[in-house]
Amino acid sequence: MSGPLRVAVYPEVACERMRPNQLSESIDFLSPDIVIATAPYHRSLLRRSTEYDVPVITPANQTGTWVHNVADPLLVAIGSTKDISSLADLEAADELNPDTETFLLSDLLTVDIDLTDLTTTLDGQADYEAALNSNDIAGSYTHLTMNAPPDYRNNWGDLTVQGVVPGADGTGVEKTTTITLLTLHRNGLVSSRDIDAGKFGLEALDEIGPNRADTLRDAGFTSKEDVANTPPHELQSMDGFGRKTAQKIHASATALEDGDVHRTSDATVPHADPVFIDIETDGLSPTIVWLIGVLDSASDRYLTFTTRDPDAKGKAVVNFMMWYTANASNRPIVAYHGQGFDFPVLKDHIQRHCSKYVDAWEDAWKFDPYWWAVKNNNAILPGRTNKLEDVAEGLGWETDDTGLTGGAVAHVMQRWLANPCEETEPDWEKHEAYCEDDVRSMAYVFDAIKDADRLGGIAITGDATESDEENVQTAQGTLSDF
Amino acid sequence: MSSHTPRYALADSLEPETLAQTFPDYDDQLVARTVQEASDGLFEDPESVLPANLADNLDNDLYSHQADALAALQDGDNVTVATSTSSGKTWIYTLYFALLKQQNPDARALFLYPTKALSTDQEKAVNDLFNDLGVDATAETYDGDTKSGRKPIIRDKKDVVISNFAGINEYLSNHVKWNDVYENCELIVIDESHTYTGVHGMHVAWVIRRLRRMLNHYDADPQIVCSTATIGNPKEHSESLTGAEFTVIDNDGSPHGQREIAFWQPPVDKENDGHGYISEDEVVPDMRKRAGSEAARVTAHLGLNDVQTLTFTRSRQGTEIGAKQAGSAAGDHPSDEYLRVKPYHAGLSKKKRRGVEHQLKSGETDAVITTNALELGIDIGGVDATVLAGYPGTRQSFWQQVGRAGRGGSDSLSVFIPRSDAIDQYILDDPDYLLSDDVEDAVVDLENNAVYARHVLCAANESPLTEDDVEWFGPRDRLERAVSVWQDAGRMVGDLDRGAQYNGAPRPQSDISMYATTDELYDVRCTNGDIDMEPIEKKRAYRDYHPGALVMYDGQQYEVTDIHEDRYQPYVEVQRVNTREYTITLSDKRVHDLEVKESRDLGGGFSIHKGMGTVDVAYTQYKRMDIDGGHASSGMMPIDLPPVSLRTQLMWIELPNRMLPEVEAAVNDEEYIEPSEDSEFAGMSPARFTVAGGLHGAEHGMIKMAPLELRLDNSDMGGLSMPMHPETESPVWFIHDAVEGGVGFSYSIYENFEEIALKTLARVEHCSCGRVEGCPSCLMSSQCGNNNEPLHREATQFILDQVLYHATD
Repeated sequence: MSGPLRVAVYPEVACERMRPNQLSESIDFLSPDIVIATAPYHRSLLRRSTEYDVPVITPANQTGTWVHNVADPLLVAIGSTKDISSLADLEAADELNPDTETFLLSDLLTVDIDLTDLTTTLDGQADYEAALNSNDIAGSYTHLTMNAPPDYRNNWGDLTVQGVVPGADGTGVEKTTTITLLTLHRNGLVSSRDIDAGKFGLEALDEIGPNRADTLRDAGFTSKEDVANTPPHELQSMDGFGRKTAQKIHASATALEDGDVHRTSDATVPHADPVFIDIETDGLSPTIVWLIGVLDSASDRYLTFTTRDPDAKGKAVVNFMMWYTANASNRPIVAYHGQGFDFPVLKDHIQRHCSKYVDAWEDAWKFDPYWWAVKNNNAILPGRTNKLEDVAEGLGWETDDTGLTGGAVAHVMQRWLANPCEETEPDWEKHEAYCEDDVRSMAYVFDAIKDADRLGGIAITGDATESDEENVQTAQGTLSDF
Repeated sequence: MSSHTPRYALADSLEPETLAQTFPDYDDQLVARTVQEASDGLFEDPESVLPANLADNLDNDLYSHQADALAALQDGDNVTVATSTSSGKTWIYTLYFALLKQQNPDARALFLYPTKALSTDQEKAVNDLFNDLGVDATAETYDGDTKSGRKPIIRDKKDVVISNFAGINEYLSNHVKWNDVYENCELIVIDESHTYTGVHGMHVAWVIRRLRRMLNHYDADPQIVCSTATIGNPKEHSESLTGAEFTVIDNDGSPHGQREIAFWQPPVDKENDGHGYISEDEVVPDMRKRAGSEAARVTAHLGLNDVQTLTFTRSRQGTEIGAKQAGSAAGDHPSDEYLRVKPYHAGLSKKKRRGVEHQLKSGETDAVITTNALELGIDIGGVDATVLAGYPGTRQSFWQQVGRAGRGGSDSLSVFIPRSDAIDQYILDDPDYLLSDDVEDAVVDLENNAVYARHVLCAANESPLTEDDVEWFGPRDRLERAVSVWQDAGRMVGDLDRGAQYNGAPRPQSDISMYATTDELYDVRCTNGDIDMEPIEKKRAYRDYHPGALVMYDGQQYEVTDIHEDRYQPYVEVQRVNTREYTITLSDKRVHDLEVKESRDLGGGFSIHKGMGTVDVAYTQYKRMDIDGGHASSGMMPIDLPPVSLRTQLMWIELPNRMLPEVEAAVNDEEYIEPSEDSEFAGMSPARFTVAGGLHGAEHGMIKMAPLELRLDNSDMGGLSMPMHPETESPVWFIHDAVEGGVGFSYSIYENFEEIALKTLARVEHCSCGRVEGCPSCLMSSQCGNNNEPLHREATQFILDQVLYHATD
């Protein structure tokens, strides 16, 4: 049995804007099993953009049925409701695996939200369901629609509907240059990951937008490597490249090439042995923090604080604080994106479930490597994006690509909380293992930052005044009064 | 101070009659006068409501309303203070906070203002007051301009956080960081609360509910003070705005001198008077000199007579032109002196503005021509007289402008010069309207579901929604429907029993545009200057900002050059112009799918209704009109935009079918109007066309006169009239809101139907135009999508008469 299916979705605007080298680089990076183009006329463009033999499909003008990997299909694309009869044929011929979820992709369903009347309808539902019923379709399907965004997932009666196209909001106006990679799992789980078109090609470098990218290409630069191999003072000689910009560009190219962290300031990271954490919840505004993975670098122990009881939502948080205050209260808590997510969420839940620990939480030293490096301009992290998995990978961390995202995990948790039973129960061990991997990869990144050489003498700090103010804060020990 | 000796007695006897007597080439401009009697003011000993340690630090006694408000607050009430400006409202809430702080050193407060400029002014005023009172408290502004390093300090340490509602909307997503402020919050102040109406008011009302909900989440229950100008419905408005109950304090105890108001009608412009001498009865308001230029002459005359004058006009350009005109009027003046006169408006640099303010105070200038920028707030000491070039739109503004005249408690003179439009002419017909206590109502409506749903989504992001939230977002079934819509849209998970949780992209609060009801927003960009305008809704862009339209914004005229739509952020492109024209846009309109919410049977077959409907509009052509002559200065030009469909609130009146022959019979058939050959009504019988003109006139008239009762602008509304509507199967006219989902304006017209209809009838009857089709002062509207066709004054009168006869039965 093969693993999950990787589907890359290329909206019209993204294809319009991307250069050929960006398109091919993106397909290589995403290594999809299937490519979907929202605009039919981009089909040949995308096929030409890769050397690999990846099928490119265009559901918008599809006729008939298309089955991926006839030997063990996971995804079937149809053009009209009439094609549902061929699903029945596949089922009858035992060609669809009854133990796994099958994904049915089409352009036939549209989510229509009317806020003035406070109604939402699934346009096309009646005909679609009628076709399923009249054909006696028996298997378990998730219905993928081109007319909803990838984070859309909802049950309409018996139909599980999942969106596919970034920026699709039913108005028909695509506004985004985002490409999405959907990972379709055999158990029905769908993870999606968005990546901006500008993360590929020369545009992936800091300070390079379409204009400067054109200038570079005209001057003969074809890759980031070319830029990394050219000293800043030469880059500076081109039109539109100032001294500071050239340095930033060069540093960003070098970081990507070297697979190293490049420091751009003198600010320090915490010296004391950090406590690395990662939390899992049921969404961005969580009702439960059900898992806190903790790597105590002082003892090198990995700990899991968890609750599997929907009626004991605070247990993990309570136990974590008990442990922290007893064993590690003078050491910094480190979380990637902690500033934006983990820290405020924990503060809120500590207040809710064990408010006696609020002071201890407030007093704790909290550090977010992402915030420190990217937002406060203290370092350039290698990696196509600043997401933890890309940075860790850029630094050489090897990991199994689970294709699971925080959003997907949240969905799993929401489903279980809505109806706790065997069918919805999450695979706890698996999630705990992924969490451990995330925590360890973050520790790896942190160590890389700590070890990085300072680029002595090159004060690359974009906007001097703002960064100075914030660098002063960080130099004071990265206390987190954010 | 001026060193010349006044030649006339005007400065010593500042009265309308003396003005008339001394005015050069006087041409019977003084047509009426009215007087607002002086008031000595009512005072209270501060110690009656404040502890000695605070009372001792006050130099003066309190006004009675300040004392009343403090007493009510100490009783635990929420208080709405509805008194005039400069009546010391800031003192009320600042003193009260000082009191709270004495009782609880950890007490915090939120003082919320509608603009950043006001926030800055008030921050200083409040801190100065704390200083004078010897209270250990500070206030500081926290908004988009605050440096990020400063923000944590303000949240953690500053007793009073000053901000605005756009900010509060965003900050609610980070309520965890604000927990110290929220937990200890004992007072919320909503200043200039009357400004929260219409679309913006709706958003603010929901933000306030979300704020109170989060305060409740942190176990706080602060008192609320609404500080408002005089409006017709202060209690209702505050309660709609906040969801809390209020005690209203509106007996203004501040003193003022006697205010005499001269109604000064511009003389006939002999240049327009092509036939030589015409009789008084035949003069149409449009034939008179423009209010602005007459105001300039009056200003010059006053200023040259040692009467320091502040003249209000409607546009920035008007101030610049007015200053020049006053200067040349001084040149023509028999006194042969030099007039020191300056323009003032918000477009001038801060330095220039401070300069003019100072010159007013010190007497270094004789006159200032200004926009409503100097209506309130800024300290200029007081002038001897004010001149109003045109009615400023509301009674409250009118008295605010008038109130600038008079130093200390001395008597003052104001000169009101009407323009030719319907409202000004109405006031000229009925000056007592200004004195009436029944001031315009401010409208805040919460029924717009689109806006409601967006705020419910934000609330879920702030904290999952439960049964308890019916308190803020009820009734229960509305909240359930909103949750259900968002669930199906994939943005919420769960239900009210377990908790409905937000499940979308971070920070839905950033998707809220505080001035619009939909998210189809178009930027407005100027190619030859700056325009600092909030993005507008697509439908408004099509209607008012189509290519070729001439628009006024903040006193500056612009022409729309293009609309760019095929892109991520659509925008309207405008350029600054300066023409004496405006544009009329023609459209085809249909109203259908009516859903009645409420009806009233007026008897005799007449009924009025309010509810929802779909308005389909196609903007087809436009033409340019000359402001001075009132005629077209261009031919019809096409508009290339697709039609729009608006689902919104409306009110309508259904007339019995027998009205059609009755109107025909009532009108003299010699006065029937006929459609022209190239009109869209070509072929309609004159009788029928006349009846249609009556309905259309009634529709226009009511929209034009609604601002006399309600705080709204006619551009917030639209209308449609038909001798036979397919759904109501009767003659009908509709008045609808101009934004998706509605904002309560047409519903308010439904509520105030008789008053508005009466005023409309009065205006139509009294209009001196004598024309069959009416004129811009009675029936014609610059917003008419039908080229002001058909209109028939007598038919309109008859119809309104019949309606009112039954309505008031």
